[in-house]
Amino acid sequence: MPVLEATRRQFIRSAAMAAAASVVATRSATPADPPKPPGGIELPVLPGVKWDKAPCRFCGTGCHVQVGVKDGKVVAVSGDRQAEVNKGLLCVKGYHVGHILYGPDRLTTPMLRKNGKLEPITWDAAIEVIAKRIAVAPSKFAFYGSGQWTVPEGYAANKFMKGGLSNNHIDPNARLCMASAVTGYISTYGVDEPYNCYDDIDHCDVLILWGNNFAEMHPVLFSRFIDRKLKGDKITLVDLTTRHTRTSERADHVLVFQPQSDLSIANCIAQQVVAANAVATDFVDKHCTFRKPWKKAGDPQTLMGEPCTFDEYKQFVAEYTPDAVAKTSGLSVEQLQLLGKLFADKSKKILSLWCMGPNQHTQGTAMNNLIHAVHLLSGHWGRPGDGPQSLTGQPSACGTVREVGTLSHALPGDLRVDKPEQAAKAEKLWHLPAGRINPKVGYHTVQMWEQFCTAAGDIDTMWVQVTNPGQSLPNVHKLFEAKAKLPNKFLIVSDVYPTATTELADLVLPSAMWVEKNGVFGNSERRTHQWFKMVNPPGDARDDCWQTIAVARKLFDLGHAGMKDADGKFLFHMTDDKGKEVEAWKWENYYGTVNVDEKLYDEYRPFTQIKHKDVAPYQELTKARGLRWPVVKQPDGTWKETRYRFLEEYDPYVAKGKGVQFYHSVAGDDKAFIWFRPYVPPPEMPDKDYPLWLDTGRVLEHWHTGTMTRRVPQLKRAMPSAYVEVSREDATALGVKTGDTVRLETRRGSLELRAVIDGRGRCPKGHLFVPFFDETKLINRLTLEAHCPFSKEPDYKKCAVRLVKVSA
Amino acid sequence: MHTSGLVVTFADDPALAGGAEGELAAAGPFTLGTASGPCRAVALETTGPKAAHDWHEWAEALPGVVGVEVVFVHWDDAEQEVTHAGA
Repeated sequence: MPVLEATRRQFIRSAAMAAAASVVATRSATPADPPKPPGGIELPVLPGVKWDKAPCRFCGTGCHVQVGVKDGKVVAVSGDRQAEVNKGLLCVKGYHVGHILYGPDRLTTPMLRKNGKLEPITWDAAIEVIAKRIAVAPSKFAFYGSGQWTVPEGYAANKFMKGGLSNNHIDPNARLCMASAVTGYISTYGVDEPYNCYDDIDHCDVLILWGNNFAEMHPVLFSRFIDRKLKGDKITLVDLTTRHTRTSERADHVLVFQPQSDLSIANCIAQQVVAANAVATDFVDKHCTFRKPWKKAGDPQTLMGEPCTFDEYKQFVAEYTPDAVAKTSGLSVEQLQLLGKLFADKSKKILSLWCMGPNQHTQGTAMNNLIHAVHLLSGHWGRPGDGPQSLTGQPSACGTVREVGTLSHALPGDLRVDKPEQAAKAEKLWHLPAGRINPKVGYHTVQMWEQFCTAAGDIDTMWVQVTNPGQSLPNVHKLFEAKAKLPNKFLIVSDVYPTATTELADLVLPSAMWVEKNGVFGNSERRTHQWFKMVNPPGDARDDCWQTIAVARKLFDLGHAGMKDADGKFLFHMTDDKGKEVEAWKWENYYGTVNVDEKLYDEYRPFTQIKHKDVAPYQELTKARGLRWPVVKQPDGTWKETRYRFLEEYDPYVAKGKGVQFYHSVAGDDKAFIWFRPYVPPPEMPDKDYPLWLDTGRVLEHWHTGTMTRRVPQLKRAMPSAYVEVSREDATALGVKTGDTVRLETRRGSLELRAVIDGRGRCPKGHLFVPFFDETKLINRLTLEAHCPFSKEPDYKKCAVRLVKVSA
Repeated sequence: MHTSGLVVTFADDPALAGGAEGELAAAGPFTLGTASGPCRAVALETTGPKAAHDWHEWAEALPGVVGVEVVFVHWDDAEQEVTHAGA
């Protein structure tokens, strides 16, 4: 090896070692030996490499990375040691986050389908096609977005639709993953999003995972907990799950329950807390009221329900005794009593975390209500380490969907389109004529795709950005693939790679991704992250946000009145420091004299102050590794984030002397609701024709539909294709061995897969699991689109299936 | 060349942890660095990201290793392995 090359390698090895050593030193610090404060931490010095910060592109954890750029390409990634979330660590996907930019089949030019074939066209022509299509029938246009949209991207799309087209048919893929958490928070506390933060992981005594494979889905946070165990902290991990996973391997208690019985289990905890006289009477009397889901049992449940007394509540939960619930849940009486005793013990701090299990559920809102309820009832609420917190799966499901309000009923800042006084606030902030915002709630995701994929449906043009519904929608044959036979329906897809969705697209637009553009994300703990563009996108790929603004401008030029504000100015009118209008709809100006992201973010920020979710000023974000809202200016001019909402010690919006104040409570009395929600059977259960449960989900190596991670060969090789986990008992009964090809059949479709027995995950008897990352094996052809009546989030976790052996 | 900085976390059983450290030290691509508590800094040099990933999985599967986390990754342009998703 040449000397220079050897020296270079040695140099890079030293840099790698130094980076790791500094994290080891920080990680092993004890409270008595605190880590050095951030600021003095230096990045590895590599010749020609320039570093800048960005959040990781993948999940909702919100890890921060330092991205190394050399000669216009990303060549290195380092966990950001200044980031509180990940403290310098990354999960195994960290090897590859830089590589996702460089797949050989990146989309680089707009393409229009002509005679069945996608053919290149210019951007001008593409923008004109979209604008003319919308102009003909604005109310028949729908926009399907994403929890991977950046905040400015989602904000621009939302304003374009609701403030420009007076059309509320905009909904994101996050409807499919965390909408139940939203309705759960709103119907419990009156306002969305967690009151707490990841700091709880460092302070809890007991961690209960409700249907959440934490080790694979949020590995850096899981390590944060396991690290405490290794340091000798006496902490307990309870894995409440429907199948044995990598998380289970590290758990102290693995409680495998029957699908849907989580409702009964939560009620059983409440029953035991009541029976043991362990209700936190003082806390509950001061800060909570009880709620039932109907006027009388048997009536349809409602989102906000009816008040009830403690005595009524006590009667409702009385039937959920451990003996009774043990008969249906799959848990033993002792396991149910373990949960009851944990919640009845005030001396232990209990953190509940959940993600897709309770959310992708036909009773998703109810499950979220019940998890909050057992914490509030027992007083396991409000101390660091003691409370319930939902996690998200996408990097900006919270920031772009929940905070910006890209759901079909919502406006930025938790406002609603169907509340006239709230819509008026949005019109005022957007400087629109009164009445511009349509008061009718738009289609939610399932409705939107039903309308698009049926001949008589009243959506005829759909624009998809930053998501892959052709793979991720439930019952995808009905909700997506049916479009193939509807020539009058027009599908526009903005993406970075070909996907199952671009397969049916009439117009494909190449997008910039991650550090090829400026961005802002919001993670699961109310933390807003910002980053700057670091490299150019390939070919003619352009920002999604620019695409939206360009179409809006073309509509303006075509005379669409909605593209003008109250003064007749363009909806996305922006000026430079000298007051001169910036023509941001022209690509050559988009990264010109102004930062368009900052302009849009500054316009959006006042919305967040309406319900005390004040996001930080953009310039503060440029200096931080994310800040948790509300971020409030201090007398000395600095900005302070908030670790815990509704607690006087932390939250500046709690009135002095209140201690705890739910200041957006539903009833206006500063109190949270403790809900009773009964067990309700699922819409489809195993029967003689379809005797097994089918559960779907994710794996460590691939992120969601694999659009990015399946471009990284090492991830693809590590987990090349989807499979079905079969229990040993079922496999024996059906004569199936690992590696055999089997066919799964549901009432909606069938799919052949390779069987795996006792693999990484292990299902109990009667239960199958299939991951959904593989575009060559679309498991969502089999899933059910039935959804929660309030959140409209489908249940991907349970439907009835049969398994047929095809070949050995 | 693909160079990674890793934090390897070992089990609290000294025999298991010692055995795992020995295995890592004996394996070619790993260089062991400083340790503190159950964690040790490790550099991993491989021909490409696939090998890095494979060695990561190997290390994580060693008895006595609780977890392997990535702190730093550097790669050369030439090894920019990428593929089509459906290929």
